[in-house]
Amino acid sequence: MDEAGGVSKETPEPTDPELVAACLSGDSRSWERLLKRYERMIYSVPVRLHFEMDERQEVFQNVCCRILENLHALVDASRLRSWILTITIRECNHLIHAKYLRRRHDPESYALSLQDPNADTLEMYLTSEREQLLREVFEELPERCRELVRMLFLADTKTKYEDLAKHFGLSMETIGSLRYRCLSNLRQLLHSRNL
Amino acid sequence: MHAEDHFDDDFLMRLLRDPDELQRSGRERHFNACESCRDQLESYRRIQAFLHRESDFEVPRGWVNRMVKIFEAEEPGESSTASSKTFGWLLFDSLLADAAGIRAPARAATERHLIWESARFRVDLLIDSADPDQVVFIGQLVERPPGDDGRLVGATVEVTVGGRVFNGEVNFTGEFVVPVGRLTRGHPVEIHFWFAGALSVFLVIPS
Repeated sequence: MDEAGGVSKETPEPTDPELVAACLSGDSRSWERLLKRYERMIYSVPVRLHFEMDERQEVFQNVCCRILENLHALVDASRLRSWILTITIRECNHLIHAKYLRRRHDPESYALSLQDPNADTLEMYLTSEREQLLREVFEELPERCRELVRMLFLADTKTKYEDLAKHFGLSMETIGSLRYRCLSNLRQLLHSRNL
Repeated sequence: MHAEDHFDDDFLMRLLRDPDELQRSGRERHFNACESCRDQLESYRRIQAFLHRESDFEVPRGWVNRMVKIFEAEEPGESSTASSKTFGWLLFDSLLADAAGIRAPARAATERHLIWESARFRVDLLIDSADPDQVVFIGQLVERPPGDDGRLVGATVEVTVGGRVFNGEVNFTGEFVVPVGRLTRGHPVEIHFWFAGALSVFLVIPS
């Protein structure tokens, strides 16, 4: 890893097609890696749809099972992200429709039902995909750089150089250089993905 | 202000924290004229919004591990096409329904009702823990869509609780009863149905 905040890491992350191939050959670590890569994207959809925790769990579990059952049939593994997102949105829609149908028979809860059975799936798809791309950009940054960027962007007040230097155990000059390189690399990665 | 005097990162960060800073700094003219600075600020705003939202999307602990366990239950080297296992997904869990305030037929304190479905089967299960030292798994396995349930007769039901394995058998109506003794907290329970042929069904009960 480039300690000063460079883009490249020591061990490059496997690509989606490499992960898929490894999963199909039975490598459970690759399966775990695949899930870790996409867990937030999967989970974000039912959260956005204001699903309860048990429903989120149901969606998450169903999506993972569907991926596992159908991974072999994925024709273009480079489209894994879109494929998983499509499965996730479909699973959420199934659940929304099932709830909608159940509530139709119960006038009281039907009247209270706020969930649109025809949620805007295109908007959901585009938002979730854009966020996943941002996640992937962040994953490409070295760990220390990610932490620094989080601190810079999430702070309510200006984070002083002295505090940053203390936090990372670096000198004031080095932290200035690290910040510059991290933000430059972030911009470069965003640009390369048209974000 | 000249075109080359673009906003630096310090200033952009200040704008993120306080949009009024633009007016106070007297740099509005440059901002309005400079597409690059506007784009940069917009890009930083998107990153900030993304980072703020990410904490909402933290997947609860254990969910991924559970799915890894399901993967590992497949025979090594077999792809899903060649796999002899069918994975089921949970349709209903009275424990979760109870927590969500949904009325469930199971008596919450001493029973847990679960329903799974897979592409080919449906499993209805009641975990009776009236006597916590003699917990019993009572269930029914049916084919969906309904088929020749006769071929399910005699299938072995293997229930794994905290590393211990208990066996039962599916009868002619698809029912099975497996006493498992005391349940171990903190460990998911695995249920495996073995049929005469190569096919089997694998289910996991969250702990």
